[in-house]
Amino acid sequence: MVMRFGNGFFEPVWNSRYVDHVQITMAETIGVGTRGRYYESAGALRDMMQNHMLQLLSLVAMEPPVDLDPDSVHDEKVKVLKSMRPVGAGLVATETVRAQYEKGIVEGDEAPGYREEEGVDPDSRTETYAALRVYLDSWRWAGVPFFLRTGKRLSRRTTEISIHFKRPPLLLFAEKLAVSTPPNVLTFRIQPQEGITMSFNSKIPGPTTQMRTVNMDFSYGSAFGEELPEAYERLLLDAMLGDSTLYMRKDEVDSAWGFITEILHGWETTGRPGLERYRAGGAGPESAAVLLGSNRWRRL
Amino acid sequence: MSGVLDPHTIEQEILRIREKESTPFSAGTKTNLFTLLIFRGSTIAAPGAADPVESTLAFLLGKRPARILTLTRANAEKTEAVVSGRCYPDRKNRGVCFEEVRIACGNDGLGADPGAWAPLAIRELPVFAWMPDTLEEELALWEPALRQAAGIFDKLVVDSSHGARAAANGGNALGALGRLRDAVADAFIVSDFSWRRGQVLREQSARAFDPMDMRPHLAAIRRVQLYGGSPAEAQLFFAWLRARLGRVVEVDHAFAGPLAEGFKVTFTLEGSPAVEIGCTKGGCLSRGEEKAGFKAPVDGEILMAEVDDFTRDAVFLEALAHA
Repeated sequence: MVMRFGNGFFEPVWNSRYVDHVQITMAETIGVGTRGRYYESAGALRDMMQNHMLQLLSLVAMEPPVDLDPDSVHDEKVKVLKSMRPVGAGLVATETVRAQYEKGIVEGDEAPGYREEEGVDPDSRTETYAALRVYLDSWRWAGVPFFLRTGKRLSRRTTEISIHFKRPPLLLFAEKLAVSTPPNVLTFRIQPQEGITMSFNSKIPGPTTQMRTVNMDFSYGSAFGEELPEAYERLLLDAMLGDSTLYMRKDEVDSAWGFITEILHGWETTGRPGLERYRAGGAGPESAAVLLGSNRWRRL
Repeated sequence: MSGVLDPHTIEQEILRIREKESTPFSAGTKTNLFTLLIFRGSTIAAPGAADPVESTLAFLLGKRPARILTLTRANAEKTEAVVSGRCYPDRKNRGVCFEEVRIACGNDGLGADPGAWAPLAIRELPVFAWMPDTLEEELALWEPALRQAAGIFDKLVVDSSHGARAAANGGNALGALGRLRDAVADAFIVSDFSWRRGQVLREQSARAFDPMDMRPHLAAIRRVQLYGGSPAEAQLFFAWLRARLGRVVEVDHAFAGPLAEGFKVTFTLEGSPAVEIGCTKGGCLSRGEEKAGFKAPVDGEILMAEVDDFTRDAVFLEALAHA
C-alpha cells in the first residue's frame, strides 16, 4: 500500500488504459508435509486462493482509501472482491485450471507425488495447484485479466505480483525484436528477496539497433540494514495493538468465499476442467499456459 | 536431502566465489545479463584436447557477464555438481564474471530432471539454451527435459553443423531441429549457428540476382551447385533458395568444407550462361567483380550475437520448414 499510494507516478498508469494484465503468483517448493489429512479436504483453492491470493488481488486493484483507518481500507478491498466476475459452472472449464503434483526433483532432491504423501488418499482428486483468470467489472479494470496461480512442489518458492503494461501504440522497433517485443513489467516481490523490479527495453551498446530487456531493481535487503518482519510477526503485533487493517473483515471473507464457492460448485457439477498432473519441481501443468493466451506466465 | 543440487547451497557458493574472484577489480563487477544453459552429450573432448565449447565461451569473457550452467551425461552412478567462477577485466578494469555450475548427470536421474537445474536459472533475466555438440545426439538426450522446461527458456541455440552426420549417412540434424521447433511452437525461439554462418551464401546470392537485369534469371535457375560449407549449411542454403524461389530446383553439395575457407556457388540457368559467386579468404567474387574483406565469423562471435539477439527469424524458420 505504501508503494502504491505513497508514490505519485503509479496512479496515472494503474488502469485498463495502460495495464495489459496482472499476474499474481504464490509458488511453494514444499509439499503437504504432515498436513495431508487436512489438505485432502481443502486443496489449493480453499487453502491459498480464497484468502492469501484474493487479499493480494484486492490490494493491487483497490481504489485509494480515504484514510488509513482499517474500515476505510476494508471498504475499498471489499469493493474489489465484489467486482470479481463470478466464475460459475459455465466458465470453470475455460477460466480455471486445477492440477496435482506427481513425483519429481525439488530443490535438488527427490520428492514424492501427492498421492504418496502421508495421510493422502492414493486416488485423491484434491488439487495442489490452481490457476484462475479473473476479471473485475469496475471502471478502472474493465477488460484487464488478472491471472492468479498457486501451487505446491513447484520449482521455486516465490510470492509476487507483476503488472504487465501494454506495448507502445506504435512498435517502431518491431522489426528488431520481431513478434517478441517484451512489454514493460513491474514486479512486486513479496517473498523471498522482497523488493520491486521494473523491466524495460534498452539498446545494446554498438552501432546496430538491437534491444534487450534490462531491469531496474529495488531490494529491501540491500537498501535497509534491517530484516523485514515475518508476515505472521506483523499480524500478531497488529492484533496486540488492535489494528485490524491487515485482517479480513467479515464482508471481505463472505465475498471471497462467495467467489470461491461458485468455482468449487462448478468443478463439482461439471467435472471440468479435468484434474491435470504436473511434475514436482516444474512450473505447473501445461494447461495453465493456455489460460494466458498469447502471454506467458512469469518464469518461476 | 542429498544436497548436491540444493539451489540454496549452490547460490551461497556462487556468491562466495563471485566475491573472491571479483576482489582484484578496482571498480566493482558487472551484474549478469543472462543465464546460458549448455546441454552437452557424454563425449565432450578427448583428454588433453582443447574443448571447442570453452574457446567459444572465452570470446564472451570480459564482454558479457553471465551465469553458465553446463549439463553433461556422466557415466557415473551419482549426479555431481561443481561450482566455479572467473572474472575478466573490461576496458575500465571492471570485472566481468562468469558464474559457472557444471552438473554431471549420473544414472540416479537427479541431474537430468529440470527440477534440479531450472531453479538455478536467474529468474529476471533471459535464459538461453545452447547445444554445441552433435545435435542429433543432444536432442535425443535432452529433448524430454527441454519440453518439460520449455517455459524457462527464451531461446534455444544449436549448431547443426557440429558433428552432424551427412544426409547421405542417414543424418538429419535439421529434421530433428524442425520437429523440436514444431513441438515447442512459440514457447521459445530456435536459432542455429549454421544459419548465421551461411549468411554470406545468402547475401552473395541475393546480391548476384539483385540488379534489375538479373532478376528475370531467377525464374531460369535450374540447378545450384555448392562447393564448401557443412552439410547442414548446404541444406539450409538450399532450403532457403526453395523457400525464396517458391519451387524445387536441382541442388548439389559437391564438396564439404568450412565456409571460412571459402566457397563457390554455381547457378545453372536455362538458356543463359551460368552465374557464379564465391568467396575466398581474400575476398568475394560476384559478376566478375572482386570485393576484398571476406571474414567468416568465429563461433564466439556467433554465440555473442545469439545472446544479444531476441529476434524470431522468420526467414530461418521458413527455411527450416523447407529443409
